[in-house]
Amino acid sequence: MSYMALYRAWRPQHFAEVVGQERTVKALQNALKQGRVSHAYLFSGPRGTGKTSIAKIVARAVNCAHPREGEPCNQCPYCLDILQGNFMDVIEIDAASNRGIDEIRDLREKVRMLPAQGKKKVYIIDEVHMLTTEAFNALLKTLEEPPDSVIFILATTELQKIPATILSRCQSYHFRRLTAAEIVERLRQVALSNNMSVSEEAFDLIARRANGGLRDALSSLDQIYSYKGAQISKTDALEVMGLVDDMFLSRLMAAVFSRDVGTVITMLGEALQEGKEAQQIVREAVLYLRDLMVYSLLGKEAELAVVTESARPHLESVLGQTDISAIMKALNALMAGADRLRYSEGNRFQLELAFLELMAVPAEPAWDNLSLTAVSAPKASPKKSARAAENTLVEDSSHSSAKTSARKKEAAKAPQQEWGRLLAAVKDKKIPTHALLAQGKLLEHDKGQVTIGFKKAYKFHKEKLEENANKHILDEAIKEIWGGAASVRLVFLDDDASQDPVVKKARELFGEEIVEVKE
Amino acid sequence: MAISNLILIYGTEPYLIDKEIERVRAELSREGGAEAELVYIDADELTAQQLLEQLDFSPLFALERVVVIRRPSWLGKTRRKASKVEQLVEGLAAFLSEPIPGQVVIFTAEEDVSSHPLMKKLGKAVHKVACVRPNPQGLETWVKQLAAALNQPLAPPVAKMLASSGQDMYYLQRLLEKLSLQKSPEMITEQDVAEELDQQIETSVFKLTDALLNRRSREALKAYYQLLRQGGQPTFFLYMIIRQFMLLGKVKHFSQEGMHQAAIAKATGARDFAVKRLLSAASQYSWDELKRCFELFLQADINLKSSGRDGKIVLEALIIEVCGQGRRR
Repeated sequence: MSYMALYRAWRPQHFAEVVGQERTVKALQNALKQGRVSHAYLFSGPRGTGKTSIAKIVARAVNCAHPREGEPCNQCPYCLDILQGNFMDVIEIDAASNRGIDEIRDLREKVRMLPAQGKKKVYIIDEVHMLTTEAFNALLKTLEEPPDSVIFILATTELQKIPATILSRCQSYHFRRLTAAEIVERLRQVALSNNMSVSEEAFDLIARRANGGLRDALSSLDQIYSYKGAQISKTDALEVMGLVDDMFLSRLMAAVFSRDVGTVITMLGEALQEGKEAQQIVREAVLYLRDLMVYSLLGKEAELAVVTESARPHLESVLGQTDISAIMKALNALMAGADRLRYSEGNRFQLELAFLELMAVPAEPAWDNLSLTAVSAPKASPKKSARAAENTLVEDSSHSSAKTSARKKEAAKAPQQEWGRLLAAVKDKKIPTHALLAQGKLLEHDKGQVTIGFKKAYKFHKEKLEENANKHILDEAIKEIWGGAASVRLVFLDDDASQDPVVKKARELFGEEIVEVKE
Repeated sequence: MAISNLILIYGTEPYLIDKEIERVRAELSREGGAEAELVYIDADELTAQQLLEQLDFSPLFALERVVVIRRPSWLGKTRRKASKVEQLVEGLAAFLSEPIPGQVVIFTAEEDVSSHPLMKKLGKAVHKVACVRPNPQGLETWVKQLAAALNQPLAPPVAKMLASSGQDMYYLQRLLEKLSLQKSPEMITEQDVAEELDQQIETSVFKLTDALLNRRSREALKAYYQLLRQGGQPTFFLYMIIRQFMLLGKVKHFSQEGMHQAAIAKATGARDFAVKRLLSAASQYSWDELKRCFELFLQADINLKSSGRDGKIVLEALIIEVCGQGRRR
């Protein structure tokens, strides 16, 4: 017999075998026992929490020849046919690939026919949120006029996408994420039955990384089992799942926050030598910082992503070294580093750079950015800045921002006026030369040096201006308005700023004309 | 009382409309002495000719029948003037003006469509029934009756909680049935209902935005985790947060202009209670802080959509940063 994946082999066949979801199971079992089965159910919740498994148990229980206490017997011909997928009246539909009105119309036609084999026709519509609006409307009409012999079980991971009209016609059950303890217990059963020897730490790690989904946890265990055999340690789990040890991360972060560059570089080198990928290290470090951030606010209530119980004291000691604002900044810096690393070939260099940047992050609190933006224009000594920042917080903030913008406008005015004069002088001499120059921007005019910048898109204008005839006109105009000869430099602007995602987004929202990019 | 052959049932509560259909059917069955057949016709799927064919009734399986035409799209306001609709109305009016013995035709609609050409043509032949959602007290009584029918004891505030939840009656009925299956024979408590209503994504989103507006990071994070457990997506939460902060900005602006609460509610289109809450939050944010918040939102939006960053962490960090801004005030 071919190998069956653990999550399929261990799919619950009775309500009693379902992990978690006690309230849902109790309600459904009672409904089956008391003959109060609804014509439509909606099961919602994250993946791998038992929606389809329970739908299949319900399908068997309503058709079973010998149901007991609301449970299917799994031995009668009906149950066996359903288990083998040969039962005509249990129809599974994947709404992701059958999402149109035609499919639902077809379903409406078929719904009218009485069950061919069993007592009830059960339609299990998975990923129901994928249906189109028209298909939902058609489905609603079916749910409004349900034939007695039909039960609909709709399953979705995205409850918010289900129209309220559908929602109110179904008995809705929410499937919660399983706790790590519940997952570990099930993993233990599976390991025991398959003669696996798995360390507690490995169980804990697998359960934590499954994000509340038993299917993911069983798949991970299956994967580790295939690679490493029946003896599974935490190191095996880390290796196969591509994870980094949380104790290593604790030591690494402790070194980062104490700005111990040597230790950080050495540790990164060692990890790379051991075969860890740079991206993997950064990804895990981001998760560690996230744990640190959440733990600093929620304490023991925090749901940690990478830090296991045994590493919690170390997490607390790292937390003692720093504060929330430094953690936030480090997190943002490291996420940016992870972005760069994704598209980089020089991985080791980028990895080290990401951590060096992390250590270079200034320690002032992140939420001080606000006051800094308000007083950042004039440069002052750190003490003055701090005093100014405090003052700004007490005075009316809108007033201070007005003053800042006035100062900025004043400063920006002078070169703009000079540029206007130069353009006018050139225009007087030759209009085509003015047209070329008008696409530029005055960057500098000082000490016999005039620098004019052009965006890369205006290469033609720049090159034409560099021709002798035009250059001569420009020199003449400069001499006229600034009273002396100057060396003129025409350069390309570094318009990488236009590629900046913030700039792009701003242009998308407000239009090219309104958005001006300033240094 | 004799049953009219042509009935229009309208209202926004499908539960009450269905109950009225059931009542008509039961009465017809009682009058006829045998169970009347119930037929639903999807009029949107049929041409005028097909519809008339389906309405042409001669007793075969039952002596009497009730035909229900649910919310036909051509009975709505928007499509009255389409030529196809006019043609259909003409045919239908001519057909229905002569009652067919043993058949009751029921139209349903969400609103009173008496001014529709079809209804005008049919005139007094149509018996109109308005299904009006009961007031909160009426709804509370109805919830208690439902519970009694299920033999399900309720804790005293439960009926009121359900009645004031704003949910439609079908939803409340299903919820009560479900809670009864989970709890019976024990009493359904206030907490059971609160948990169920909290599971609605809108409820949790407002918990999150409220906590954010008041800079309560722990509460905001907890609401955020609940939303994640419910299967929501960070991009949707960000959208809701931004919407609330935009409203906060408007409320702050109008209040600084000297407008009072009711005028602000009118100007912003927000509800009174929402404006009241936002007014108290508005005083906690300076314009610079609001500006900074929008910078953070923009950055989070870019990070969510244009980078490979984990959306869950991006939002966690955003929540903490927004709440953290007030700490140094």
